[in-house]
Amino acid sequence: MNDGARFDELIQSELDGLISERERKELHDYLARNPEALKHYNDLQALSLQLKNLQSVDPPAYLRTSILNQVHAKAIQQSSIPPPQTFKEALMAIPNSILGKKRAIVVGAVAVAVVAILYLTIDYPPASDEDVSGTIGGAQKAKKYRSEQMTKKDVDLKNARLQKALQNDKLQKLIKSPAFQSKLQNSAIWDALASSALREALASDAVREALANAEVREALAIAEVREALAIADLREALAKGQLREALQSAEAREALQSAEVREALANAEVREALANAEVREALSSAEMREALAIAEVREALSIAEVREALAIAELREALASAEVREALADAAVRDALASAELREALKSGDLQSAVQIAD
Amino acid sequence: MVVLDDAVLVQRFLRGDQGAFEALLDRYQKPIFNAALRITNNSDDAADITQVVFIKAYEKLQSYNSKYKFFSWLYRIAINESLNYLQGRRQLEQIDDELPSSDQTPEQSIDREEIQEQIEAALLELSLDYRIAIVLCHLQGLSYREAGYVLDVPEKTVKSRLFTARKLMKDILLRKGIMK
Repeated sequence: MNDGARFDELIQSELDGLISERERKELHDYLARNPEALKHYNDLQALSLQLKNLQSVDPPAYLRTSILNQVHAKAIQQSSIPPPQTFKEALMAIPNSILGKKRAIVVGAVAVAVVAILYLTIDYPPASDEDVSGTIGGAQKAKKYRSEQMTKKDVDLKNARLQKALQNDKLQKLIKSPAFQSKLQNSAIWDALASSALREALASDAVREALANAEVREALAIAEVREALAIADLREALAKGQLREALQSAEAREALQSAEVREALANAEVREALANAEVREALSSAEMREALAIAEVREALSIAEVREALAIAELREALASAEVREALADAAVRDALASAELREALKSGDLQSAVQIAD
Repeated sequence: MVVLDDAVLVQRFLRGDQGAFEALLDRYQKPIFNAALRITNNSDDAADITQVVFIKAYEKLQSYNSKYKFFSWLYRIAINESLNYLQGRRQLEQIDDELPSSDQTPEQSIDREEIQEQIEAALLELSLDYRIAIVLCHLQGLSYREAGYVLDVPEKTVKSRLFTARKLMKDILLRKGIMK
């Protein structure tokens, strides 16, 4: 590469903010010796500045409304395709050539699998220690984050990240709010501050933003919820918004008080499920929890394809059907889930396609 | 107020939350409109393109690959639509006619507003590839990599187009006496 090409590249890197210190020194040494190159450089810098100063133009006022009207019309158009009346009907529409004699079992089994994940998010009873060790952190592990009761003087403000976090405008505003001040009278909050994991979480912008939400602050007053936050994966989920959204639901906050639920939450798929509004809504059904207290269902959940099936909106909608819940009460249906053949059927792409006939 | 990132809004929209789409629209309506405006030099066309971009995004969000940033994906649609628009209306020829006269002498005093107009005019004198490189990397702040994804070309092509585009713009502005 000749000198000209080399320095053109360095100038470009400088304009784009991609130049290293060493390269910058090299460039400026060269420019000091070459007035022509210096003028070229200055012209390009001036051009960059002018481009930066180009003012952006506001779109016409009607545009937003016009776009929204069109997308709403599209949404209505899409929803006008009549879906099957119930989940059971949808499955019954699958040709015999696909399901044959397995139809009845599959209807019940898919329904059971659908609700299984819901149960997992609220009251997951591990079949044995071995069953869960590979996927979830464990409530036992969470215990190590529990802290001793503390006094105000124990709060360590020497940590630079924490100090920086406390100087943040949003946090300052939050601290000065009457609601937060009243929370400070609560010893549980001091317990929370004693947790180094929680202090670390406070250093994250996203977590501080989450704390500005009243429901989230309320959730933090619950000892078990704080314990949940001590799990690194959960803090990450909070930062991404999934868990933050979940904490705004009363049922989810209640569910978080169960050690098993916290364990389950350490699993990414379960967190994803909890981020779903329909799933959270379904958390209040006792019948579903009861129906799912069986090992086979949990086993079915370990199959990726089953979890994928759970992502289908129609299947979640099936939860509202009394027929599906009735099927859950049938021991034969639950037994069916123990069958490898049935699980194979659940993995079938044909089955999933058939379930999506509403699309 | 919690500011949700694009990925969260996209997920919410895919779960049926129409409000999430509105939030994405509010976030990107202006940048997309401005990108289209700089490429087409016509406010009505830019508004039409912005509308088409968001309607396509609404329809195709299911197929959006989350390994790319949402705004890169949106710009990709916007650039393609802008090109289609220009092609459809044979506007390339018209743009030449609309350019402000470049016969000003260097001695003429030029205020800031005029400089901005001249910069915009110089941008429109560039061929589309170079203009789009300036719009994406300079005006919209995309990295070489992001612009490469938007344009479906290698990063080094973006870099090379940007280099030439700057040089050409500089020459145009020197010729017009905006730079001395």
